[in-house]
Amino acid sequence: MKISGIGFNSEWVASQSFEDFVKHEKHHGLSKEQMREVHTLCVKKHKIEKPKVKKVE
Amino acid sequence: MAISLCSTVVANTGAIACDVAPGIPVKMLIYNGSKLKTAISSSATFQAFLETNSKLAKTSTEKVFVFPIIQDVVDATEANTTGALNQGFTTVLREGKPAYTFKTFAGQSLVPQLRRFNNTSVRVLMLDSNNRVWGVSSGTNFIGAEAKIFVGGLKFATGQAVEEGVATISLSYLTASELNDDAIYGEVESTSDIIGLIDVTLEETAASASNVYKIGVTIPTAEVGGEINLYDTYSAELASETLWEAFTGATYGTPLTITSVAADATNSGWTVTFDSTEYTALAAGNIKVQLKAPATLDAADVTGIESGYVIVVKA
Repeated sequence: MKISGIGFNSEWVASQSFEDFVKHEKHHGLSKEQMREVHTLCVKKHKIEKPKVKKVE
Repeated sequence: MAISLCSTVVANTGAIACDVAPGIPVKMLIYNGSKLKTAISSSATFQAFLETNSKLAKTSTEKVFVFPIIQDVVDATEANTTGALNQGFTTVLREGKPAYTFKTFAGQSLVPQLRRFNNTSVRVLMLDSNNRVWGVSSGTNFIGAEAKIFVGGLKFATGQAVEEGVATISLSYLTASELNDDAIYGEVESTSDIIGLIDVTLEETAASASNVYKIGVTIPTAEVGGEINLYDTYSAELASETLWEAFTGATYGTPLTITSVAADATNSGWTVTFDSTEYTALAAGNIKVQLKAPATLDAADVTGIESGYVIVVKA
């Protein structure tokens, strides 16, 4: 899935919690809103109802 | 009644209307594979076969390699060997094997690629001036005619003739019978999508940061230090993780998940990010990174190239 010129592996994104996704891909410099949009679209595409929950440290 | 073997060795001699014959050679195609005639029996399927197979990776046995357009044709076929008896009888003892000398336009970056085929036995298809591609019938299959080719190097021009950028190709068929007795053809509407691919090189453009690597894609040229950077043409198209792949392991048989690919304007390449969990679990060692197969790239409008690979190191 391509968003803001970045090709994201949508299946991998959908398998991650939003927090883990942001932490993993923060080097692209996207805003939190943009990251939210990517994550939401990927989850919707792959119909993941329960993405991985971020571990509480 | 004469006792005769004619019925077992000869054929009838009637001609069909509008029979065709080979035209002027236009492009030589190397095809070492084999295709069922029934699968390419229409012009559409024959064309699709050549287009598809010209975009296969060069490791495929079904790959069609496309040589440049022929600009000069000389028939170099060996004359038949004849014998005679002293009362005037002459006959052909041995048929000369077909051979041709072609000239094509090619630059110094391409000629060494063509010369990689020198003195190897290959099977050749020939596109002629009537848009017919000639091969050989082998049972139920369409194959190329067996031949050896030799591509000469480029020379300095003398200014006396058309010589600059002209490469000479010698084509010598191994048997006369394949062309003379077993030749068959398929028709194509257009040859614009039956193309030769260019090998591209991958390299690291900058230091990696953990699981994030910087990769460039270039085409080497004959100029010292010169290369064509595909970032200039495909920065957006190649910013797609669906066009890249990475492998680890002793024989690079284990896929490593790529989570994202982004155009990297700073280094005129791409930022390739690996799954950090998988990456962290890797022992220190090599990771093989490459673009996907030419057909996959072509479908994504990254046309005319075949990827090499770069080995990056996880410290």
